[in-house]
Amino acid sequence: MRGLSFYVNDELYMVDVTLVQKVARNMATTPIPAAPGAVVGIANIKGKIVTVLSLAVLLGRAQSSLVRATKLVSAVVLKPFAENDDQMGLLIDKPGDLITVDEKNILPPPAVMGAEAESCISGITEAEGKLYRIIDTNAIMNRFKDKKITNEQEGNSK
Amino acid sequence: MMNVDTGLFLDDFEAEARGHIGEIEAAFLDVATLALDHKRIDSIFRNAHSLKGTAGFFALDKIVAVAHALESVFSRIKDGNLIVNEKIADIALQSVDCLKDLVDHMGADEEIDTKPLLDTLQEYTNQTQPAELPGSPIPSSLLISGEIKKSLQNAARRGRKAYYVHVAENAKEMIENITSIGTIVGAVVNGNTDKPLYEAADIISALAGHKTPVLELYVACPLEPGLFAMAIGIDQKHVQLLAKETYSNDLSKAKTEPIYQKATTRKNDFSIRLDVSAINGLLDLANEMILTRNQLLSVVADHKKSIVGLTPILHDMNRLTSEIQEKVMRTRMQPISVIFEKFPRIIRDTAKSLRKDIEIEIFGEDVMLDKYLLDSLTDPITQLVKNAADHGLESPKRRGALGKHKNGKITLNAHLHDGSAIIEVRDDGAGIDMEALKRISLERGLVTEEALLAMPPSDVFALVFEPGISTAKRVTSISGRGVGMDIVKSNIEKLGGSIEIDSALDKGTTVRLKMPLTLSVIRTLIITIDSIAYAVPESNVERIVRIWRATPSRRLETVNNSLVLTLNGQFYPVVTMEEIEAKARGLEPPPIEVLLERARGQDVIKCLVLKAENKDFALLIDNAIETVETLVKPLPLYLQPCLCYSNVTVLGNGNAVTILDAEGILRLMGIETVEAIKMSAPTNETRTNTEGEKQVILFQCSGAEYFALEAGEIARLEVICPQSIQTIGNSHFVNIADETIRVVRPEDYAPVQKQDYTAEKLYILTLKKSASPIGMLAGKVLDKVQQAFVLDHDRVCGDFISGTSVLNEKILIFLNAAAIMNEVEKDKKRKQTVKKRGKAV
Repeated sequence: MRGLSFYVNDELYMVDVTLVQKVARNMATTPIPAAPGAVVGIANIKGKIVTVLSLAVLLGRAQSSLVRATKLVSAVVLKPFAENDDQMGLLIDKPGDLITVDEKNILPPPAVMGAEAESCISGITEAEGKLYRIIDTNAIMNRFKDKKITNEQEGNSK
Repeated sequence: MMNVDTGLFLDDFEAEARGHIGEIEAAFLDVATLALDHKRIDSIFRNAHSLKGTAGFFALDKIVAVAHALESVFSRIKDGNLIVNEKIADIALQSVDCLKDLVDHMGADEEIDTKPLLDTLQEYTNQTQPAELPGSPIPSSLLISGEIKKSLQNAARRGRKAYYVHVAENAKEMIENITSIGTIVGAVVNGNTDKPLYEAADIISALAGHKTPVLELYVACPLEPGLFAMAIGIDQKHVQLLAKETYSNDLSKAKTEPIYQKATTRKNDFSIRLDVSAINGLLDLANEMILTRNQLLSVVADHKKSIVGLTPILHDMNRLTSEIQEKVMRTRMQPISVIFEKFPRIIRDTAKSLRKDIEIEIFGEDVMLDKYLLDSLTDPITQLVKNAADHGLESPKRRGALGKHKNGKITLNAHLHDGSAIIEVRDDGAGIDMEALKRISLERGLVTEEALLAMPPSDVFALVFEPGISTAKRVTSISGRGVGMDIVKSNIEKLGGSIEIDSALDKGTTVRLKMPLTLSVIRTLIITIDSIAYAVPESNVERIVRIWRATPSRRLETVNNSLVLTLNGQFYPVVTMEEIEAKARGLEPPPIEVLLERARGQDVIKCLVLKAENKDFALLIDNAIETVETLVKPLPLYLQPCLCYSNVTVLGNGNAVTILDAEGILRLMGIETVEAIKMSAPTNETRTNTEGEKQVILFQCSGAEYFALEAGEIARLEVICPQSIQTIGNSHFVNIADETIRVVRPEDYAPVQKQDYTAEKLYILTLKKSASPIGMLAGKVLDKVQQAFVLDHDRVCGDFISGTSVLNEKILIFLNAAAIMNEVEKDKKRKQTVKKRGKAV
């Protein structure tokens, strides 16, 4: 598996590169006040709407902080999923490298990561002495689809 | 000669007809290889049916006749009474050519002779068994393998005869026999026409792979048919001598005489049909171009002066890109009148042919819909109107017997509702016979009897959409085969819409289409709140109210712990984005005082008054930027938990923004009606912040004087029109919500001039604590003010005045409500006494 790595809060994450459409830098993103806390905002890429999500909030690493005013963010923009056209972008601090991982070396996520993290991370792996968390993008989409993420819940967990 | 106007709708028909013909042709080309399935036959049948239907309305009789004949033949094929063979495919293709020519020469088709073609098609309709049995070995493969044809032609030139040999057994031996007396020019193994073989060795090796190979051979041999069969040792029935025409190149000349001779001239095409995705792609690119333009503008902004001539170029580019975006956007939108305006003419012609008198009414023609939607809706709506005219409306005789107006009426209505376009086709005809519908559905085995019993009427009517269901007793050239409604339904659902039928026997039928607007462009007002831009559909926007600090008639206040906008005596509930956000995320809402203070801290407070579900409410905004037409895009999955957004869109600057859903905000916030606020607002006067502060309502009557009443004395505020005041004797009354309120005029109780009102709207301030309902009549309600007033009792005197005070340099006359009430009661009693006395006398 070839993965695209990126940093969020100084932690390394990775997504399957075949799922990635592009890494967008300085993408004008409009915040959505009434949206679930994990939603950073929406952006337009060539006429397609991309919803930018915050991994840190999804994984329970950070509280959602609504940015007032449109701002420029960097995100890994994923290709549309098979079952719906909505495109997801993952907010990143900075992109990492393209790395090749042997499937054999992927371990299940450790239980200490917590339930929220577990549902979005399919596994962890080590390469060149660094630890990568592999993102399960489908699981993230499904959490929204199954209405597991609602505005209410997000609010209460704060 | 036809009587066809060359109009907009005829052009549309032409494009549409070409589409249908093209599809029929495509399907027939498959017939030629005999690779025919039921779907294909259905497709041909439906296309012929649709073509016939539309052509019928334009009195294009020849097209109708050919399409009808074609449809009839395929109706038989569909039922299994006729099996497709090459001959039928051939005639069908000629029919297609004929239809094409008829469309090319629309309005001038006298010279096109369709009779021989129609006669032939008629033959096929009447036959129980086709003349050419499909079993007869007409070599199908011949049609596609040009190589074989060529070889046969060459052989024929050298005096050889062409044979077709069908070999089912001993294939290898047969090949040897044949090669000894003639030449195998080609072979098809197991009907695999895609891979014809030419060399004996290849054939043998191909045969090796099959246990029971079926071999079709094309042989060139000088021998006569009888001798040939004998020589190769095969039954004569497996051998066929091929006529020269069969393998000559031109198919249309292959048959003895073409039934239909193609017309030579073709009309030029002036319009092209584009796939809608092409325009979508263009639109996305145009939007992207604008984004890039803006980036460029910001990058070069600092260098504008140093590069000579840059500014006008940038200016031009600015304009051009915006124009391109707008043009592309425009190309997709058209008013629904494009569909609707065809119908008056269509109805007139249909009415003539059906011998009915039909009126048509059209509403909502200006509803703008996406071109793609409009295109796709033309057929279904036409079919629905046809149904209404043909089956819905009764004959004039029957209508007369039922006591209805002799003219039947068909109503087309389009409007926008809840983010969908609703299109209704209504007739005041016979309605759907529910019992007949149930019976037919049972006969066809579509439903069980138990299921029918449990079905609500709407579901029973929905059975009309099942294929093959028609309660019409006859088949006409307009409709009645029962194919219409299922096509309509499948087309509507393909577009993401829904369809429902409502009908009452002898009253009429309404078919309602609900189409999504996700493809369409709407006018929106772009606003900003906390520097975030939003789009608000213009249909929801009532007005924008600016409140300056110095305007007493416009005010932002708190009532019952919520913000209320007071505007010329009207009250509007106010929401802020902060409250919406808090509510949506399940957080504590910010304290109302904070919101109020913050709003009042601004020089100008801007309120956007929105209307949804007949309720008005105001949203606090920073700025209203502009009104633009935006392409509505569906709300992403990730935002779907949010009630307050309906869609998303991309602005001219390339930013993605949400479209606010006024109904959703109303539901999310549980906003009370304006009436409820009105009721509750004055009762809240008990809140006294500072000693001596009073809440008073300021109003004017017919004169220029300012009156004041303590809010605590007023039960509610009503708006009435002057005509609703009834005069009985010297007293005036008005009926509000089943209550008769005695109207008093403050002018009668104060030393002021009384004039007649000319305004169209008056106000009634109903008093609390009165024995019988009493309301003060006011011309204008100005404001509600809370402050401590020092009353002056000397300037203006009277029994019904508690004093005067000054506010903003204006003198206010404070009315004494209790005294006025007493006087009214006394007056009433006096009159009653008079009455009693009168009776006694």
